[in-house]
Amino acid sequence: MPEQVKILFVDDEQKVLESLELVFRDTPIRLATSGDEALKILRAEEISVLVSDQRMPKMSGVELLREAKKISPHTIRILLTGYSDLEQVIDSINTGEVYRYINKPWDNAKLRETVQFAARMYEQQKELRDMSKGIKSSASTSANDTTIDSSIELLFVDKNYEHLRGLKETFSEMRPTHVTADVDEGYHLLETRPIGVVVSDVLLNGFDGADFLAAVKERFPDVVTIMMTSSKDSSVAVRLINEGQIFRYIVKPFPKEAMRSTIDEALRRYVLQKQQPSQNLKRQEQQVATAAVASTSSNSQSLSQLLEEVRQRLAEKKTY
Amino acid sequence: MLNYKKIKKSLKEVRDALERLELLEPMLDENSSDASVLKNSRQLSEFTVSVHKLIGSIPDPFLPTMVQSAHAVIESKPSKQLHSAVVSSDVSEDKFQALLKATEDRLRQAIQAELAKIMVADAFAPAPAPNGQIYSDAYTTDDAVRQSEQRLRTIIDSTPLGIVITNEECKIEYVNSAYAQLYGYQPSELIGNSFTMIVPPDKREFWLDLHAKYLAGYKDIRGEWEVRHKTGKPIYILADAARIVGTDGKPKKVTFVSDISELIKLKDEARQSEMQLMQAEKMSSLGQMVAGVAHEMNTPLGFVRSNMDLLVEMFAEMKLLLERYNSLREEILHGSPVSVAQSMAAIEEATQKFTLYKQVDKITQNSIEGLTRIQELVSNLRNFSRLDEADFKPASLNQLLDSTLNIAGYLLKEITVEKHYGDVPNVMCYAAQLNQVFLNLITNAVQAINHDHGKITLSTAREGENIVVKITDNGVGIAPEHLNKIFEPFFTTKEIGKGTGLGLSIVYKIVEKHHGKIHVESERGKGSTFTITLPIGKVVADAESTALFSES
Repeated sequence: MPEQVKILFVDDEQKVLESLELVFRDTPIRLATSGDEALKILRAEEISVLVSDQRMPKMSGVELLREAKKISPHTIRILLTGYSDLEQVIDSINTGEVYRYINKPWDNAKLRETVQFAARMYEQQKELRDMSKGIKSSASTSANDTTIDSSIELLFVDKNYEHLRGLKETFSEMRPTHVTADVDEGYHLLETRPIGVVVSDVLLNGFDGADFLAAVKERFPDVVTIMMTSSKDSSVAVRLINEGQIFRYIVKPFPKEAMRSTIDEALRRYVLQKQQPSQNLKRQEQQVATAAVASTSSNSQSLSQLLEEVRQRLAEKKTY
Repeated sequence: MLNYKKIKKSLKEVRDALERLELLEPMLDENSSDASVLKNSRQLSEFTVSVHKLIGSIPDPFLPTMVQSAHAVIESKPSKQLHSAVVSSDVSEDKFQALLKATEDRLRQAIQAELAKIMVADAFAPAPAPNGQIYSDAYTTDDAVRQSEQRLRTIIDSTPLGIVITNEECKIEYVNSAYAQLYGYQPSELIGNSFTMIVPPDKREFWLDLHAKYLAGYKDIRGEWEVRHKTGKPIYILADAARIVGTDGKPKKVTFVSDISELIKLKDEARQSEMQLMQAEKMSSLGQMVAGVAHEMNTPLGFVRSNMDLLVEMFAEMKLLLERYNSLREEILHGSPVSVAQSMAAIEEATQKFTLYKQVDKITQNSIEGLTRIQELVSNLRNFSRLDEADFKPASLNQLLDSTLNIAGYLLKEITVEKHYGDVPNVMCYAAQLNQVFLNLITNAVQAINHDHGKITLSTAREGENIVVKITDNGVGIAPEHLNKIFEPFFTTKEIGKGTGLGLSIVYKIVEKHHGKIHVESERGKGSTFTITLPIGKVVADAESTALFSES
């Protein structure tokens, strides 16, 4: 077995690092007490998982994640923090593209599980990358430059008809755009139409938008999900990270242009994930998980069944 | 020379007066009351005056013979019997002139007396009916007086100021229309009734007492009062009063009131929104503090909790090892060499895993340190909030600054804090509020620092009867054009949503409440110094205000 890729822990509190060192005493790890130090390590070594504190002097955890994404895009990013306000949580989604958000104090066993799970995902992605490198030419990775297939459709779910109309007007010129206030209809559309991006409000009629997006991600891991909301709630945002692998969290009201570019980015992500399944953390997560436990989920489920199953799985979940 | 215009005018007046007299005439025959007599006499006087005016306007040679009869009118006591008003007489021209002169004087006096009476009576009379007929009898020769009287009445009736006259029996004798309108009544509903109908029911006794004392001359009514509208809803008035003596010779209270309900409402709203804003600011600084404290607290909690998990793991390893040692002992005593060897191998395996014990000192030591930090944090929080302390009491500013520094510790990790505390006496203050002031200023100081060698200097010194606290930073400084605005509410240079702009205005308010002063000096790129001057104040014995025993 080749040498395991290292996990990097960053915290300005030495004693936290000392504990983590013992928790991961059987795993190859690196420690850093500041963002700068962490970036130096990221530049010099291959790191599978980056676990960082949020509130640190000079460079915050989110800032570190953002820089880390540039230096080492495949490193899986996790925040382990004592407190973050909503702004920081949203930033961690939108700019840090964080994989997990873990609160201090933490549970050693769960933390170990989550981090090791992420490390396994990293290893798998890497294998997939190496495999596709052999097969495909480098041309296929240029999703950024190519225009996105206009057959990919958009879905907006919101209980506010006014908003739905506005979204329909804005996006239907570009590509087929579905809007609905009915969650079941939205789910049906996902099953029948080639939808690439789902944007949902947090408050839906009789439904929690976060639940809906988590279920969508569970059932359609390739679909890119975006939460839009006018009510800011950091616990919802944290749930969306940990359970829904949310792509973006946007706060109403937002500028039309910002929404356009967010949708563009989401579509690009969708195309990229389709081309390179290794880029899809959720798919990876499911593959790693199914390797451990045989999955029972069938492909034809009603939304309520799916929601129930997702909720149950989350309740039993050992990792964050 | 004849002044026809004047004569014509006089003639018209005479005719009008005559007409009125004639109108009154039938009333006099039967049971002539005092009132009708008074009215008649008034009319008679008017008529006389008008005649006199007419006579005056006609030069002697033109005087007609009827003047002789007019003379008789003047001679007769100008009242009583209207029938004698026009009587012929043979009085010589000279005598007539003299008589006329005397009559003229008498008339003038009579008219003046009458006028005074009318004015008092009018003041007490109910507001005029729309057609204004009630006052039709208030004629005087003196246009100026009449005009001014009318002007006065117009003013009284059109003023938004409510006017009410109340007598000794607490009965309302007069209200102007503004007053009646203010309370939602018709004037007739008020006049004759006790004024207590407009005060809150539970305040009636108080008002009756106040009314009596006011008329007796030793209480004032000036001020803001809560009264009752006809509908029962509370209204607020600003009142002032004057004592007058009525025609009956008895003291009366004239009260002038204006409705300030709207004003009170606005004031109330302003006070509430100010309170809400202050609360918002408090929540915002509290939020910042909670964020900092939560993180400070969760960090040691994080590693202590983790260390406990590790100790649990270690004890599990140790238990396994102990069990295997026990079975080894059993095997040695009772088993075979093979089973002993197996046990030895099992012990070897468990020992390999048993590594945490080497770290046990570090684990426990770190945990104890972490718990101590949490303990300190909690005690800092208590010191800072001073929840369990009396409001206004002597406190050491040096201690307050220190407890604020402790609470702001998470902000100050990268900043050098220099303390130049003087040996200063305690200051009478609301300690928790001063802590809020210091936290705000220290937080601002930290936020102003945008470089790696940040320094904040805190100093205290006594200057006469004051303590001077200075908080200095070496941050970006304040733009000169902002210096005079920074204590204004809502002034902020932070981006929208990042600050309420109330922090320093609250600081200012708190310092003001302590009868202190605050000012700022700043230089762009060099930093700022906030100087707070607080009077030491005297320790007030609370014996006077506090009873020894509480009421059961």
